[in-house]
Amino acid sequence: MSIDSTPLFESRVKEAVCEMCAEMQPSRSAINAIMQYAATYESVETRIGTVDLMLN
Amino acid sequence: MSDMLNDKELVLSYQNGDVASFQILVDRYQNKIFSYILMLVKDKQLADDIFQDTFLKIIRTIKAGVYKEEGKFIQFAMRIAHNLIIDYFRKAKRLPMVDPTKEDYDMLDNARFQDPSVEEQMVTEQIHDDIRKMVEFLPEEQREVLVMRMYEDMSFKEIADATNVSINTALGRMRYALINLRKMAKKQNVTLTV
Repeated sequence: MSIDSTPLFESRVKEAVCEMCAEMQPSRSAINAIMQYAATYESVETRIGTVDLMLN
Repeated sequence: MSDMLNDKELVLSYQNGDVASFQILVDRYQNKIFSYILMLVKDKQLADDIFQDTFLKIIRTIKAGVYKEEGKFIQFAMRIAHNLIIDYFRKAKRLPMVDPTKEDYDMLDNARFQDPSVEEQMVTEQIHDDIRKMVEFLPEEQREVLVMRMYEDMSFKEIADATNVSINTALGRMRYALINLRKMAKKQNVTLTV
């Protein structure tokens, strides 16, 4: 089939992009840092405004 | 059980202190968000940093109680990632500009997947490899729309919202991405036949 076949071309590009993206994963250290932050971060409303807190 | 919750319920649950709910959101979307970032910045370490910053900003937004369920969680996350990538390119002073177009063109109705033989599979892998290399040469703005549309399955309306452009601009970038890929394929004699 010719490269000018639009459906085939787009199908091939989609397959390649999906395959390429599916292999990409963030590092374990990035995930750990995010989850540590998620577990300790708190935003607290005070009389003087919002205060960011990191809880242990 | 938390695995059964939808994104909105997970966000609320995390807002109320359940960290496990946030872990599910991270697990659910880490690949989509990270691959989007890496496809644009093309540097694993930098992509990791932007990915981390994206989620830290998501955490602060949720915990501050200012997260609004106006769209899907993934759109909200992609918008944050997009803005952080733009910030990076601005700082690096290498944000590329492409001409937007007003032409309407929906091109994703024909994706077909087959069960190939081993030989066909090898040829297909070669084709994919060629296409990957060509995608690397696309301007960032075109590559961004290509990934959001083809991998993230976002609508052009969602892409437009996430990238702060009109729907026509998003459509135009997609169209130019395919035109440019086709030009490169012709120039490099990349054959798509299995």
